[in-house]
Amino acid sequence: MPCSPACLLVELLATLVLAQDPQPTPAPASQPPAGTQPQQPVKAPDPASVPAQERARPADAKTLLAVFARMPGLEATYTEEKKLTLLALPLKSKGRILFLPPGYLFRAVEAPEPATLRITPDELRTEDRDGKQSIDLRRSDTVRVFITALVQVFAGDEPALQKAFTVSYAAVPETKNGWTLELLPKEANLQRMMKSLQLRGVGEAVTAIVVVDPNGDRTTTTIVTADSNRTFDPAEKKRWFGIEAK
Amino acid sequence: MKGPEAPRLWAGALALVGLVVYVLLAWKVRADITHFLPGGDGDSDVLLARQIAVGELSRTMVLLVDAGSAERAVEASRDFEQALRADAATGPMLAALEGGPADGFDEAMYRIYQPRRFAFAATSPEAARARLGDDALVHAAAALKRKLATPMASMLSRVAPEDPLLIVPELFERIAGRGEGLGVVDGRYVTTDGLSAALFAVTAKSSSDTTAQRPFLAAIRRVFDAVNARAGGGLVLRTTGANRHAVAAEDAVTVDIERVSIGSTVGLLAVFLLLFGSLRLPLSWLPVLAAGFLAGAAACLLTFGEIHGMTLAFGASLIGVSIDYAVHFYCHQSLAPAADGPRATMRRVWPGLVLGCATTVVGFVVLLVATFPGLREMALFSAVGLLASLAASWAFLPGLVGPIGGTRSAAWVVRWLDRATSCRGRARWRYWLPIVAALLVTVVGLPQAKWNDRIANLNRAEPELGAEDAHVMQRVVKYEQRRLVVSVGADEERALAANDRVAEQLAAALAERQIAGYRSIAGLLPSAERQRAVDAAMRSDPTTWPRLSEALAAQGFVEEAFVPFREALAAAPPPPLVAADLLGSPLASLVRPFLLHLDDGRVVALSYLHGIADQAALAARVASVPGARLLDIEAALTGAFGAYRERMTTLLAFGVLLVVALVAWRYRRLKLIALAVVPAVLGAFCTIAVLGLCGIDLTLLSLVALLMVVSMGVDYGIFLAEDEEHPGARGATQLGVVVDGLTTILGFGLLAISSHPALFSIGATAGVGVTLCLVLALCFGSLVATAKSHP
Repeated sequence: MPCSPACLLVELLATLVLAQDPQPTPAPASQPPAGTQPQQPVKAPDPASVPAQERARPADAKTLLAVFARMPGLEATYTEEKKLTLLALPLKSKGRILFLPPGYLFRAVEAPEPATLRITPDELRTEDRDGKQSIDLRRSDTVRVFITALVQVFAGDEPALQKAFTVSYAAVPETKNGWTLELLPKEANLQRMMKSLQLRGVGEAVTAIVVVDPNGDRTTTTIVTADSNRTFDPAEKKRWFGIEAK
Repeated sequence: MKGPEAPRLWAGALALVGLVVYVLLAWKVRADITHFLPGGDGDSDVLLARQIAVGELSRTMVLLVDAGSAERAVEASRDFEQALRADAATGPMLAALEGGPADGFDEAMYRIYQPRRFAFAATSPEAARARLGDDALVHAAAALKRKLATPMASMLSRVAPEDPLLIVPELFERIAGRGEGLGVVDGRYVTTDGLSAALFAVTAKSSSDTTAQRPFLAAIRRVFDAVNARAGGGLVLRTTGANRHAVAAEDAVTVDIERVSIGSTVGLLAVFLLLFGSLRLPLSWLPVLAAGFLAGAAACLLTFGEIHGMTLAFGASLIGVSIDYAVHFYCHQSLAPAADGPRATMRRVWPGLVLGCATTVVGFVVLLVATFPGLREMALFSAVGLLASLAASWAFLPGLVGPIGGTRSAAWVVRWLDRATSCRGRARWRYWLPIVAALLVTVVGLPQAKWNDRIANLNRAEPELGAEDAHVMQRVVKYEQRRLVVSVGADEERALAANDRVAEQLAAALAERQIAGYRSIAGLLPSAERQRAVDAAMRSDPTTWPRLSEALAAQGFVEEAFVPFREALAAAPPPPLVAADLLGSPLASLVRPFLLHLDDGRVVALSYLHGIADQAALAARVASVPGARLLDIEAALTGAFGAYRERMTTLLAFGVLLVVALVAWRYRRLKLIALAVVPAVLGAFCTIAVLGLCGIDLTLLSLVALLMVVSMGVDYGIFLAEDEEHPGARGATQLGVVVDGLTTILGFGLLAISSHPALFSIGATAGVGVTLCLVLALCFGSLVATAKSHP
């Protein structure tokens, strides 16, 4: 029996966007929005006593991603601002991000109202006052790449990123060790879902993540505190990432 | 050829050549079990079961390529699809082949559903109005804002201006919940464990068309081997498909046919070498055998356009029956020849041969009344084959027999039979002994007999194929193919209307855990009436937009951003979606498995199920919808088999009465009538009893075999009864009957060791039955013969 109906349906969600004609999008802001200055940035794992943001700027994207790849895990607090054309005012929220290599990310929104989001290699699961929802990421290439892009950055999975994105790395002028890592989608389908994903950092630490949508909507996540040497015990892995102990 | 027999021989030879030419030109064998399914009529489950069994579902194969990683699986899948399309043997056989979503699938989905989103806002007008209530709109606006805070915001913010209620995303989510074990990686279907790729092939030819399917299956393997070689090895192909079972069944049947043919032929030759010391006699029978086989096959090909493998197997066994005429003639010609030569001997035995053949043919003719394609074919093959063999015996045997004489072995057998069947006085008890024993066994064993009408009893399950099916289905498609819900309507609209209500019932059944899941077309294609009603409910309230814009504003949305929604709400609705819209688009594969068009113009919408926990409750729930019901294909066919068996029993009883009438018309004496009929009838009942005592279930085909038992048993009785007019030929007749019995038992005994259930059923029943008939006929014959001079 042909199974295409059910196999494709997550992709269909993306279809809503993909099938629309591309819309003209405003040029991205040339200056980072206010409130994106780092306070305690994400640190790459390093037993050395030098704080991550005080270390030398990685030479290139490969080196930076290699630093990320060495992280045993990450826990960070953040603030987020979404500027959407549909809304008169930005959506602001704050919460906590947990990352476990190679492909698990848990995000707990604490304000304005509690919600959670979990990304695994197979699934995106959200839970809020409307209930639980899950999207099987195995059913759609485009949605999977879109949703897991940040996870792949944290995992330092350079081959996967290079396959889907044009990756560019640049030093921030007039800073001692500031940098930006920008990901531009290669595929047209992905381009209709995401214009760019940009990480900003200092030394070996990430300070902000900026996602720009094709219609100009912009989401800026600012890292407030971070522990990039975070490890998780089996109970935590189960609780946050849904990983059953073997 | 010269002499007085030459014209007959030439005429017979020409007739045989004509039959050979026709059969070769028209030759077409099938092996699917549906041929042995009752036809069904009207609105019967049987008709639906048959239609489903021969529909697209039965022509679909799943090709699962185990590759060990998603990357390899994707590469192999792409290569395999291209190679299958390009190959000269597989390409033309493919009606459809999908290794991934069709090109343009996404765009078609959006193009078709987005303009009709209001018709798909809910599953009922009431539900549509409910989601436009004040509270619901406030809730929707708040929910939209919350969703925009998730990573999906970039997609939703593009959709929301035209669809702030998120109708289309909900529609897709509603459909998405039915997922099987597949995902899409790089545009290819890959199992959720990421180890294998799946391709779906629909063949252009019926799965039971083994002539086309055998090379097709072989070519798939050949093409895959090349793909595997290009991939550096390590790929494993697993498949499902009814065509594999059909080919395997035909292979098994073919092997059995060869075994029966070779075995019975060798046995016959051995018997005749022993009794007559010459191979000329058996060789001279070949025209008789060929005439029977060719005429039976020609009649089936002419009438049905094809012939079933099982009918051919049955025909091979017919050798043992039709040859009885020749055996009877040769025994008389060798041991008690007429003074005027072989033709005179033939004239002497001819009345017995004609009556024997007539009683057998009558038995088969009653089967022609049954509306059962396979049985009609068998009956036609047998009846025509026997008549042709009889005619061939008349035409060929006197001319081909040549000088003939019995061997010492034959003389010994005749003497032994004469002694054994000539006991008089109290010694006659030995003739009563087998008869009484048969009666006792019948009385004890008949209650033990058990009928089993399950369709599975007609075909052999191939364990390896079954395991492969289960493996693939478990990883790819979870839904049952045996039990499903059918919604029948006079046309597509009425079928879909019933299907809408069925979907509501299935949703309720799912909530009550009567089932673990279902797949229905209702979400993708509701009836036009339902679409219009839901659409009207969404557009009819003029306060919808003011209230919604107020709710959106309260959540901080920019009102102007939602102008596209306001305009769409005020516009005229588009025409409802119909199946043709989907079938003519890249979404066709979404619809095809769910709709079935019956020959009488009616349409059936199918809903697939899995994890049925309470079949009775589910059936009752579904039956509350007019035109809908839970269809258990196997149960429907099993019930139909039971009904046909009962009807056949009546027909066979009528056939026996006809046989008695024929025999009575010929002999007009009670003891001869009894000699001709009683051994056969008692033998048949005793056969049922023996099989019951052995724990062998009786099937519909057992009943067919019993018909043969009665027919042949009557032949033996008739041959013996004919001795009343030719007492000097008794030894020849007895030898003939024994040889007839042995050769027939040989033929059916070989069928009984077949691993094919249907052939075993026929073989075991007929083998036991003919043995009993032979013994009982000789005993009855002895009682009749010795009674003449008994004080």
